[in-house]
Amino acid sequence: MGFLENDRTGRAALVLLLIAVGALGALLLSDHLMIGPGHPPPGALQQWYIPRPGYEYAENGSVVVNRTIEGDIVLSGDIEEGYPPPFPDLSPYCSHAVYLDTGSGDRYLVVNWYFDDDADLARAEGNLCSYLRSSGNVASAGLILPGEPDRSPDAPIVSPITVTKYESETSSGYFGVVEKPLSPEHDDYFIVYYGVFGPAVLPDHTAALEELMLRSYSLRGARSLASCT
Amino acid sequence: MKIIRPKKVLPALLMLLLAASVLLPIVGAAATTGELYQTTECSPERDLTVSVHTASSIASLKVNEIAGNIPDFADWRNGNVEFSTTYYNLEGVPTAYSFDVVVNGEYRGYILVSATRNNYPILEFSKGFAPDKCSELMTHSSEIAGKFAEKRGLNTGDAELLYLGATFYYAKFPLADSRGIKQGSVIIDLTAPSVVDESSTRLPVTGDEFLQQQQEKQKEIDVLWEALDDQMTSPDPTISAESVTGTSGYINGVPTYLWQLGCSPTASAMVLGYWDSHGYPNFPGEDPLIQELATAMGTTPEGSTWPWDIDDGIDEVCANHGYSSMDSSDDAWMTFDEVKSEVDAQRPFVLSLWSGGTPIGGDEPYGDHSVTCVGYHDYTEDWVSIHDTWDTQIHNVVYGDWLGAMATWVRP
Repeated sequence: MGFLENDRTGRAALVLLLIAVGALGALLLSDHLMIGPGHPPPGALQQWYIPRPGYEYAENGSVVVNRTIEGDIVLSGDIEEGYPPPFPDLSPYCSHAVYLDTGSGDRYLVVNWYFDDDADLARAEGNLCSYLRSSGNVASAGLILPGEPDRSPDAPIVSPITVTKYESETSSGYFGVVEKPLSPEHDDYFIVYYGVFGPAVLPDHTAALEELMLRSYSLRGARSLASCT
Repeated sequence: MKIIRPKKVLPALLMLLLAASVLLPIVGAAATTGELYQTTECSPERDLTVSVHTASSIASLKVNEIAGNIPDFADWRNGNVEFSTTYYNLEGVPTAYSFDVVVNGEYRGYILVSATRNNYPILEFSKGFAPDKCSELMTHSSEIAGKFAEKRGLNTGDAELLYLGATFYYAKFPLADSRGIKQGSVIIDLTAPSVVDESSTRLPVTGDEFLQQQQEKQKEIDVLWEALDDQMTSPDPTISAESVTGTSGYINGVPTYLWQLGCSPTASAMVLGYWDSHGYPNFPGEDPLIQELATAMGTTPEGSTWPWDIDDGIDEVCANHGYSSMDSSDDAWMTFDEVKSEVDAQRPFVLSLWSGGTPIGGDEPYGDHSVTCVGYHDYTEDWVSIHDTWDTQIHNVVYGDWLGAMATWVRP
């Protein structure tokens, strides 16, 4: 009888062991089955806030580019890697683009600096502020973006953001800092600039710049440059 | 914390088993290591080796074909190819040849041609740099190997470059002691320079099921090589009529949303965003739609999603907005014919990839990623056209350039 009991206990142990091994295997395998996060690489994030052209198929199946961003504003040239003059080199992940208002002939500039570390962001903010102060006038400002396009009817019709206003002979516009906009779990930080080329009366261009902001990734939660306040 | 619903446990386990049975054979199928030759040992008369000379002709032909077919690569027209290097598998058997694409004396990218007829003829092409051309990467890898050897009192020799499948690039450094006696080797992963355990690099899976899967894959590969043979021996092999006049399909009007909260909810939102402007206007805008989908499909805070929750999440969101009749379903056995049929029916769908390769012209592999499929190209090589959540462009991926894939059809 004792032998039989031992045998039964052994079998039960074997079954339990097999279940445990199976469960462990399933658990290990399941780690590889989850899809994502598919987080964009830095090369993509360095263009994140730059309004992009649209791409559509033509009747012959080729892809055509629609450079119109909104109204009379069109992308002029391509989205370029790197920082444009006169701004300083703040991050290896930077892109910029120039837009033309075909009605007025005004040219606008959007710059996107990307960081994956908040210490790098803080350092860059400091360097940028030093440059901005030495080359023009800096002040905090608030912008109230109208209801963002393609948003829920329930969403707020205005979206106030805080920015840093910059005015100089070469370019005037607004700087904003956005932290972790893709997901609270990802260390993504951006400094973005929406400005007009040349000496300009900034309020005359704010509507066009807000239009560009609305055609960018959401600026919800944007703040001004910390070191400039 | 995600609550596992009891009714989901069985399907989940079934999916695990199913995925395991799908993934494991495909892991082997996509790899190009020496053991793959076992599948053809039964027909030793077949010479599967592709010479550098033949590969060079293929590369030259394909460069012009690519220039004629892909607008982004139009500047490759009349480009020349120059042999760059040979990639090997773990056993030292050539797997791929890399050629520089040169136009008017300027480097314009590279094209990778298979060194064996056991794999697709064209493995990759890009306007970027192949790992062997990236001196910084090679130097860094060499330093890592040097440190590894130094810790063990050994020296490293010249690296042999390995290509074990799409985006799986390694450098194998031989090790020797102070007397010059070989002491094994160290392998460095070139995509994220670090020492890798040889046993953890992708090795083919053998077994009957694998052999069967591989034989089926091989049929498709054989068709491509035969088409290429015909092309190469035709009187005017510059651009094949077949490759230029292949069929393609596309869907216009699919919005391009950028990544938010996770790739699966973002890719799914693009599908529902399309339907929002095609007769189902109750869906919310981009941000709330992605948020709602992420919640419904239980996307983790990091942005990952269980694949079998994607269709349920879409169904739930559709029902929330009064479209209970909309049906979403997962398909782990997707075929290219189904892709074509779905696109021709003007129904975008979510394509979830495991270890997805690099898009044509891109320089970053997708890895585990959900994208939105909006088109296809049925040429000598099949492509799917996608919105990838990383930008607003339409990208093309070679069909099958992944370890595993699952479609989530969304049908009104």
